[in-house]
Amino acid sequence: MATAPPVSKPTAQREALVSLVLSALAIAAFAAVLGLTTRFHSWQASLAERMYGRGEHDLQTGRAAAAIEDFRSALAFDRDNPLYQFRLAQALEAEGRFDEAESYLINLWEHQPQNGMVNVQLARLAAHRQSTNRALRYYHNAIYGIWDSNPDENRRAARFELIEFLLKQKARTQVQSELIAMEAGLPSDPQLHLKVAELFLEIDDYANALAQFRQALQLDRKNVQATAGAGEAAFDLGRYRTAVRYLESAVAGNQKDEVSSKKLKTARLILESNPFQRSVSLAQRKRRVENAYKAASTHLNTCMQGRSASASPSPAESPVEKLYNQETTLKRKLRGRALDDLDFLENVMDFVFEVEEQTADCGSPTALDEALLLIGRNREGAER
Amino acid sequence: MTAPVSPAETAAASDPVSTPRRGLMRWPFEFAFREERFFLVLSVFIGIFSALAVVSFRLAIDCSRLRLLGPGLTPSGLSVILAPSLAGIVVAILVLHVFPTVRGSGVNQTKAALYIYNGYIPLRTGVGKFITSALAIGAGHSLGPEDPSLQIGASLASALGRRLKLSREKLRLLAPVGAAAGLAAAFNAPISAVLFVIEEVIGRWSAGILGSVVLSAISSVVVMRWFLGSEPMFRIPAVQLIRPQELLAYAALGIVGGVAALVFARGIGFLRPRLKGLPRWTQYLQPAIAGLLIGLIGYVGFPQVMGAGYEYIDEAMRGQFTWKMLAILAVLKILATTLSFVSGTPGGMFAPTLFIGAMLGGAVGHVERIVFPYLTGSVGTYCLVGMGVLFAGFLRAPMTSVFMVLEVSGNYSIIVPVIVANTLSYVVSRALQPVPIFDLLTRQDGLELPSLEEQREETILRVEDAMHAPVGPVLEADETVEHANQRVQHSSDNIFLVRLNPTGWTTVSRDTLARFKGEGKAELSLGTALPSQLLPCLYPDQPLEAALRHVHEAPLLPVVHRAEFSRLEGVISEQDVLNRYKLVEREE
Repeated sequence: MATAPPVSKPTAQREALVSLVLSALAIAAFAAVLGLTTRFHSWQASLAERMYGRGEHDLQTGRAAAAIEDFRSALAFDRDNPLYQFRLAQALEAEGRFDEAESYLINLWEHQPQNGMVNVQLARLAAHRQSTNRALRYYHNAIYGIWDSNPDENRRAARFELIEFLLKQKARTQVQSELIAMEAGLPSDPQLHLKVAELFLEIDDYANALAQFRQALQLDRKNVQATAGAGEAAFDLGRYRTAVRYLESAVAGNQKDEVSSKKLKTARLILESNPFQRSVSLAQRKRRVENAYKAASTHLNTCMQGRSASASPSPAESPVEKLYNQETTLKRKLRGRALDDLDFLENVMDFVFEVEEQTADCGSPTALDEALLLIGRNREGAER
Repeated sequence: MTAPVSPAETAAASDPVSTPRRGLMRWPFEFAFREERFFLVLSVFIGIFSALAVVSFRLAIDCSRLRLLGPGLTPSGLSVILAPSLAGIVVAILVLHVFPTVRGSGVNQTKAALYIYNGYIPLRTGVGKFITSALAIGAGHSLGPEDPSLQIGASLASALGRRLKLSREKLRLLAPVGAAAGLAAAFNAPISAVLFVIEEVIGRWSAGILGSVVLSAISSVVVMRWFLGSEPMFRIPAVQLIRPQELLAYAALGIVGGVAALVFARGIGFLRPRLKGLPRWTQYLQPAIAGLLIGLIGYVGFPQVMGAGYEYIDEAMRGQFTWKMLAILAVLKILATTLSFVSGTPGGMFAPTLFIGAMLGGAVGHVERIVFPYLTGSVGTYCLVGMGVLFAGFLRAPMTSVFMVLEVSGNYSIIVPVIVANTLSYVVSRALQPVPIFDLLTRQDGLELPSLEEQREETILRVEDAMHAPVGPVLEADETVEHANQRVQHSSDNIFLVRLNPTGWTTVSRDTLARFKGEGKAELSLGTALPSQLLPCLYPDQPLEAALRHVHEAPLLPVVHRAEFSRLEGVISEQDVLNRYKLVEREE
């Protein structure tokens, strides 16, 4: 097939010349291939953008499956593009293909471990899988990570997401820590303060909640939601005068706010019924004790009647029965004795509070019963 | 290797008249040295040109795919059926009328060029391979770009060598140099390319060409990366082999891979000669029918089997297929590649082998993880190991398979599972299919080319297999001629070894000793009486071929200890060597 080529006798000059010619050829070929690849890559880039655009459209119109194909096609042209990978991961997540989504996200994370968006997405996946530790880690990465735009807002949003996740996990202490960390850096936005305050309320941290509602009110005095929230927080703190002040404003601002109306009534009743208030006269105090006793006694009797009708007799005496028996004795004492003795008044009120506590879930307590229950639970606060 | 100083060299060195002749003799050496040096420079240029050709080839494949199957990753519609079928017809016409030498993968053709045609590969073959393979792979035929790249590189190198009118010897060496460059650029893996060319193209270890092959592969990869980037082909998560017991899981993959490689190789080995034997007119239709069948596979929901399939290997590594899908894809890819290859469509088997291995590895990994949930290896890891497994079992290039996995993944922590699985796959495949696929194809084409696997299995005869203990006494340099004469009286031998001082050996015959005595040299020591010509020494572990080169220099050669030249291990003669070879022949 082949004929043997004649043997050459290369000289140094010939070698140099050949090397030069080959170099020139290599440079020319290099330039030609460079031109080709540049054109081809720009074509590929335009195709990638086209596929990405289609994917975005599909994702926005809820066609996640089609979006996945489009994003994959875009990635075939530009496989390192982090945006395409990220959107593909989101589309996969939307389709419930969490493992695949995670694979892309992990790849992105390995390249950019501080990327806020990627960390949030990974945190969501971890949260979906109830993997608390991983979710916490990724959320914290996102909170302290790098964001291309609006870093403060995005970090705050990530923290809010984390708080929501922790609330679902009933991790109240961690939620409180996150909220306290967040409140220090909140901008002057009443809505944000309001949101944080409501979250504090959700974990029963009324003091911080009240402080945040007040912050919101400082920024927006007419914010009815903040006023109602402050009233509620003050109420739950047992600071009924403060609560009345806020709740009155709240009800005035929004008369349909039944929760605030009810709390206002209760708060007012507490202030009106509390015999321990420092400013009340002895006569008023006596009257309040008598009213309290009557209300408690009625509630106790109603409760005992209901019990004897429904419950089977038990050999052991229940706390309510014990109180019922005490009430009979106390009634006799009350008949024969004036209410001038402050110690005796204290004893009567102790009995009243005990009755309201034990019968809280029994029968249908009146507003006064509820007020007495709250006074009993928070005597010091009721005085403020 | 051989004698410390040979008699001829000693004579030449002591010859005062030899100086002007040495000047004349130097010229060929200098010539050779210059050609050697120029050959290395040429290897770099071959690497550069091959890389440029391979980059263009890759662009051509992508371009043809985009034009024929559309920009979507998963092709759809009628183009899935039409593109490979129509491309098959065009390719068949081109192969039958314009480029008749471009059938097949290109590996065997390059090897044949090296051993049969003195390294001659027409440039037309390279051009034809470029066009037909780009069209076929781009249209969805289940073939890969690596083997054609190898042949394109080899044909470029051969053309350049011919143009520069290199010697036949150098021209013969250029084909593998170009092949390594082409493969390295296509695979982005210089070490694997070098090893593959040694294992499959050159077919033997040759230190003489290694430097050029490495240089061309490296320069090729550098240029290719300049254009296409240096990222590894596949990215897998970090591999951690937490429990050594997990190696059993990879061993199981090795066995499954060995069996799959056998099925794949048997399929090709069975169908190829039968289709080739059909009437010539059917060869116009064979690639089209193969394309049609592959298109149908794609149309019914498995377009992943079309083309080289690297994107899907990457997806499999990310765990994006269920084990059932992975297993189906592995089976369908075997079928599709067999169809494409046996139909005579030009294209390579590297990429399909990796695809099948990855899918098979992923499927086995998935199943193993279901059965043994404590296994920590990711599916991506199994896919990667699976690629090496099929490479070792099907292409029967065990060393390349290990380095290939390491290079394409850029992950060296996977080496232990890869070695375990690849070795098992290789052993299983070799046990069930004694002839490797490339050798099988070569024999089907009526050629007989050397194979590294055959060499591995050949019994190597060594000097120790032919030597024997000296029959007569071993004489010492300081004993007198008279004493030596007395010692040899009772021996039946005529030739005796003499141990010289400080080291070295020579021989003396019984007649010479008698002559020395007659000349009145009875009281002289042997060292003084004998001319200072040393015999070449051999060592017991040297190949017997090495002895063959020297046994004619003396009737008896000493076999000495490597650490103590004066210690005689045995003696060997020309007859001993020939007897040993005859014995082997009789045994076989």
